[in-house]
Amino acid sequence: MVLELEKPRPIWQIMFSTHHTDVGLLYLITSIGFLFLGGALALIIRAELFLPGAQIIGDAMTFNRIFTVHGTTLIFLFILPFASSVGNYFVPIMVRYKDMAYPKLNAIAFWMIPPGGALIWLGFADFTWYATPPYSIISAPGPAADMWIFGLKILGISSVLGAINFIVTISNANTQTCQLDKSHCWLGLSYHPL
Amino acid sequence: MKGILGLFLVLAALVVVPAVDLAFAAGDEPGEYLDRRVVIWNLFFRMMTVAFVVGAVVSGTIIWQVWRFRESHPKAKPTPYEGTDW
Amino acid sequence: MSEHSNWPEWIYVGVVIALMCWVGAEAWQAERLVEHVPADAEIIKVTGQQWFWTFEYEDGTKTIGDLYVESGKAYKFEIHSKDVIHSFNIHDYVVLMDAVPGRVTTVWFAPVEVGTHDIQCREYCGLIHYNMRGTLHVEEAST
Repeated sequence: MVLELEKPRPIWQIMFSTHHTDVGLLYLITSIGFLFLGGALALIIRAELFLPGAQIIGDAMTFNRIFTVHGTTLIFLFILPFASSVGNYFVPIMVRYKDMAYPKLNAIAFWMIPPGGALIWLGFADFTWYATPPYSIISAPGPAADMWIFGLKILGISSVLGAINFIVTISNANTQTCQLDKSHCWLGLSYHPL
Repeated sequence: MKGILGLFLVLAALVVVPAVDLAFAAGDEPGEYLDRRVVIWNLFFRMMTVAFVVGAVVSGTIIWQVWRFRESHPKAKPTPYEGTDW
Repeated sequence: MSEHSNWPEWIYVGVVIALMCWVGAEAWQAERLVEHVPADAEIIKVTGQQWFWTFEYEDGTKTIGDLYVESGKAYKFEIHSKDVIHSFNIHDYVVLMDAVPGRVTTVWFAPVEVGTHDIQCREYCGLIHYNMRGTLHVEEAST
């Protein structure tokens, strides 16, 4: 199937696109971007822990906030969107269909990632990425806890919408063109709700 | 064949030795208390061995399979999709 | 469509399930052994709070940060928490048990030789979690 695309491709066309390859690449770029941000935090932690005593991080609270945001970013803003990116790009190709089952929902699911990520990064909570109570209830720094929770709520809904998309796309695979029992294992993995 | 035998010996050691050890289990008097360090670290090392053996078997199988079924292999057969559109 | 035989896949499933069962059995056995508290274990009440440990012995004495025990004897810790979740950890003796507010958790051990060891908190509990430490002093048995 050949799509007519302008060269150079306008940015607004990529950002408003609902085609699975575009959404997959948007997920990829966003997740890799967050990988670098979270990775930078990890490097700060390692620089701090290189020698005993305080190095580059002045106080304990800042250190606690750094490792919390590092963990949260790498799980919820890197790994999960990255898996979604690979799935979004390849699943329609593997089931030999033209796009995911709900292309607009796909784009909506992606565009929930930047606000979720922004909430987490602007809040910079300190209660680790498990956020176990009672500490997460009494944890001090301002609205950080609420922002973290709402950021994760949005990311969670994004994940669920993406998962619905994957399940419906794979279930609806036309067995004439795609013999499911011979398909790549990835389909089985994608079936698992993210 | 030797590889499978060696694997079998390792697995037997992982299962048999602790089972025999359990027959002479710890009692409840001073001097005979169970040393929790020994029990826990022992379990850890055995599980690590199992994990790496399983990892080696699984990844070895995948690597063999990828190499054997590559398109340029002398015995490679065409897939049912050759000549079809999307 | 023609159904190809898939006995290799079923063997793989069987092997994996057998492996999971064996690992589960070994872990259950180890837990059963480790959780059996000797009847004559002396009870020590451990209280964790932000950000230090306190210990109360059977004779009523209390210490902050320092835990005194005798080698060769069995000790059972009843662990409390005053505020958030902490985790009582004597790394060298693999003693690790969460201190959860609202409940009492139990762990026991029997030190074997005289010496000092570190006690640390192993569940993030806030600002000075990284420095919520204590010392275990194992002394010569008096009897």
